[in-house]
Amino acid sequence: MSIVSIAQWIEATGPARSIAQSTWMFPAAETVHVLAIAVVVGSIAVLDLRLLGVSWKSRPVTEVARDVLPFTWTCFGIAAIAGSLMFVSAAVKYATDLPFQLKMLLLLFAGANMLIFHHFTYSGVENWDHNAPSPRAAKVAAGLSLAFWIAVVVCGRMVSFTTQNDFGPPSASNPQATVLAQVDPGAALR
Amino acid sequence: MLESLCAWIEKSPLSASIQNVGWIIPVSQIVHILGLAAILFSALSIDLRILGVGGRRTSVPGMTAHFLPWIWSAVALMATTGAILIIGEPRRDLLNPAFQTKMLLLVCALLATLGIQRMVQGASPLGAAGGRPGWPVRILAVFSLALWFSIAVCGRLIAYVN
Repeated sequence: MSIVSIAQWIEATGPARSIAQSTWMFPAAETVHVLAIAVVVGSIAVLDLRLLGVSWKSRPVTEVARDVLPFTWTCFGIAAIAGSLMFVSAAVKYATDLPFQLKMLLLLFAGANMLIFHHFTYSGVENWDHNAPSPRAAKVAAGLSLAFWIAVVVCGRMVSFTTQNDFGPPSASNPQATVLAQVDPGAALR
Repeated sequence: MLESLCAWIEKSPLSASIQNVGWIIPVSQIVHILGLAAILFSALSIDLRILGVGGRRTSVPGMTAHFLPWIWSAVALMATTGAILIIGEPRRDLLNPAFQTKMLLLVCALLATLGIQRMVQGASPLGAAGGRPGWPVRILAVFSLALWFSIAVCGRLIAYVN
């Protein structure tokens, strides 16, 4: 069973079709998705910048983490749910879209980076909680995290240029704009 | 009046170059979203701390001292990238009710943020770490939160309303 046939099956389900046919559901999901991802990136950046020794150097790393991470996780959950609703409405289009595939890959990288940091570096945080900047391994993890999340935002933006007409809901009414957008990302906007 | 302003902007060479160089608009939008990330989380941190809901390990002035510079820098960044987007496609924004609402709310949000800054960093009883913020600054915090998130919603709706 190929990815495309799974996507075709998802797209044909009842909920997916109602989102695709509704005028407001996709914009609503997209708005929630953008707001949630903004808080994810904004919050994780605060911790990353602390680890890099750029800002909030006066506070212990563990305190910043405890302040910031509940926002990151809550909003990541919200963004994932809203994103799934957007995905199912045009599953084939997204599953075969290069920026979308890249975005999913980058999310995996961000997750792997976080797991490695958590299990190997952060487990010894009591030894460097007050250091600014943090040890090299933590700085590398923080730099990678920032890079991955910014790249996730970049790919997310490109998904809407490549799959939709002027980043509105997927529409059959203006297929030309979609085709143009695949050749020239700026074209969908003109 | 807005019509003629749009026509005038559209005829400018700057508008033409923004349109003709395909990557300028996508890049500006991406930077605009990153600025939004900084503002939304900074406003959340400050406002929830003022309301006593979160971040209580830091004092209210400690919170504003850290996050207000991020807000003001991000506002400057978003004004710049926003201006590029407007000059590139004036009709898409200036004539759009979602955009017009967004600008009105933005003025209110900036005033609320300035008010919070004055009240917290001025000579007020908020200086002590355990000090409980009074109701004027709490009301401003509620407004600030509601305004910044509504501004983000309006920004997204520009793509759907016309």
